[in-house]
Amino acid sequence: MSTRPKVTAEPILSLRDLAMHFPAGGGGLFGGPRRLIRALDGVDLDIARGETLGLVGESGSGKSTLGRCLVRLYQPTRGKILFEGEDLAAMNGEKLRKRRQRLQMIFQDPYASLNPRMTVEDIVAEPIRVHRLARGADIRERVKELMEMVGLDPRFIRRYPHEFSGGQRQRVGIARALATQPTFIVADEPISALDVSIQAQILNLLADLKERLHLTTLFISHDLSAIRHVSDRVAVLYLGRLAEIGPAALIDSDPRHPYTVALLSAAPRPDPRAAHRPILLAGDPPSPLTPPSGCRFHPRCPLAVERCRVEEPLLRELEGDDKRLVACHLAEEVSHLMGMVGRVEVSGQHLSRLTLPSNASDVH
Amino acid sequence: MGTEPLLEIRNLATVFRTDGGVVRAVDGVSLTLAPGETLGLVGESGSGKSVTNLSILRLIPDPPGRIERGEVLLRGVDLLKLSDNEMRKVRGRRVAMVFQDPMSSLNPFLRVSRQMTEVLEIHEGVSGGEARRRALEMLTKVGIPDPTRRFDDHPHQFSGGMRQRVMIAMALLCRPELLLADEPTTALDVTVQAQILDLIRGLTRDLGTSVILVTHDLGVVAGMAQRVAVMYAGRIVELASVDRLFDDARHPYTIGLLRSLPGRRPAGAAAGGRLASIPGRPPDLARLAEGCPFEPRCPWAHDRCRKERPPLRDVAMGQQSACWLDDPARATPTRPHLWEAGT
Repeated sequence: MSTRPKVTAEPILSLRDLAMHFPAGGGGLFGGPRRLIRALDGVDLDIARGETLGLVGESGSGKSTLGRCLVRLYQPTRGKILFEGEDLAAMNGEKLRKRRQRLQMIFQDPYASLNPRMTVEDIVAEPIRVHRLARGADIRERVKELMEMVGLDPRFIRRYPHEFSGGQRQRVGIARALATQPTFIVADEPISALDVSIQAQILNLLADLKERLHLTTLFISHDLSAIRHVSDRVAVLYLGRLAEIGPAALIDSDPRHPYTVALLSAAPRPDPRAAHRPILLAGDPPSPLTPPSGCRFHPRCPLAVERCRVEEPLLRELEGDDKRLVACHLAEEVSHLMGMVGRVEVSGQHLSRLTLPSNASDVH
Repeated sequence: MGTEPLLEIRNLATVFRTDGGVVRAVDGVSLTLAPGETLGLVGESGSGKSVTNLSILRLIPDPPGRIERGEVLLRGVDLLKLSDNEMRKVRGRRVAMVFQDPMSSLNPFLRVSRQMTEVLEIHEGVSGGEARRRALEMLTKVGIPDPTRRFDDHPHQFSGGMRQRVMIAMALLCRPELLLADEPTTALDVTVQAQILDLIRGLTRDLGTSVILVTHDLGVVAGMAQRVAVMYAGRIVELASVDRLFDDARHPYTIGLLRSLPGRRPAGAAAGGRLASIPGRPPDLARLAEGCPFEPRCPWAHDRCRKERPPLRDVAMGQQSACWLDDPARATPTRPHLWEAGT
């Protein structure tokens, strides 16, 4: 699986310069400059048929916005969403409604995304009715079939969401998403709201369904271990731009963007003998309201040099490595340089910085 | 243990009266904590880990809750027997607490400077310039950049990670002997979580503070704790050093949790491989049956487990488990396919 090329002959979905900007107040009654949240700011991406692409990022990275653009819950500000050759971003009305059957979304919080006043039957049947996929008694049969498919007892068809546990509610959400027989699933943090022992149940279910129904999946999560487990390839998003994308095993073992390195080192590993010397970045992820100049990661990057402050790095291939793309000026030297990063104390905060004296002038 | 324990909890039980009956949230918990030690208290929602922490500080809302029995000995003195006035002197001074949401311990209407100096005034009678100096020193220690300028800000003017730092600064201001931390990094981004965990680890080590770290995240426990207590259905089901727990877990619930973690996928394994998954869910604590509460979800369950609830007992050096089997992972399962069964 790790040998899958980054662009296959037939991507099922391609994003081209996808951007989503939200207005953030200002410009109203009290004037002030009109401001934009650049949640997504030019993303190019191909997803091959049948693959699971893991999309990882922190708050403000734009990962949920990207998922919502794909299923056209949002109308993107610019760019293309090519799904099976057609641009969803330029589509609307009946045509979009029809295409949308093929792309469905699973949400993080099954409690918030299910109408508490509807029975499981109504919840799962709704998309079947809306898209007129069955009628009469066939609807109920189809609902029961979907319930069985996701591991729910069809005898519970008249129950309400609150009568189910968190894991079961997530199964209801999955059954609803599958009701229109989609080929593409966007799973947005599908296990983060669940207890640990339940998370594995849902991950297993998603893996089974992928196999059985030949689904292509965009799996969005902040949880690197879940991402590593389910994904064929991993895309790392930072402040609305891709930092790195490539095969899961390669990204895990040989990350080439300093942010990916930091993210991997910061993720808690369930192994008391693992080295717990995370790369400590300065501050919180910055706001997408005011993305930094040059490389968006430069204010937190332990390796940043002058060029990073000025020139935004483009996503590019590295020599001798055609499976991965990375957006860093220093990608060729990242592994080497990150090995020389040590801890310094800056006004009480411990930060990871290059500790070479020759680089000292670049650091501050 | 050679040294006198800092904290000793004996047979603690905390119940809540609900419409569905009496919920036995904590049902006979005993543990000890050495000075300077960090204990991870792990479990799922409803396992009783947070209620245990809240009971130590007697912060259980009554009604509907009540500490029914037990002792919480802090250096030999039972906190459950102190007057409210004496207890107030313990809270914040000798035992401090931090939460997932920093706003639950910060007052949104008061400047950080005022909240911090007030703590010192109440607990140590320190005020004026000396209080300001100590508060500022602590803000510097927790890594608030430019603390002098930020000192008179309100909590909402800080970012999420910085607010967490302010809360930790408040908690450690009086150099408490014990810090109770309840999911302190759960709401934070991964890179910010790493900063905050690093901070808690460093500061508590410097101050010699013991920590009870409540978390659902076994990864966090692996990096922070020396010992781990695993809770299920209101009781500790396994208690061991962190190395033993991850290397050689002895309670079936712990074994199941570890096998269900995606992070332990061996290098090179294919994507989407199956994880062990524990079917069902924890029992309703208002309707606990006889026997072991984990029995319905356990691959090694046998007759005795349905009748008698196993006590926490020694199963190896420095390792206790509440299971009739000493080493279930090496025993023949009675339901061999339970954890791989279906979806």
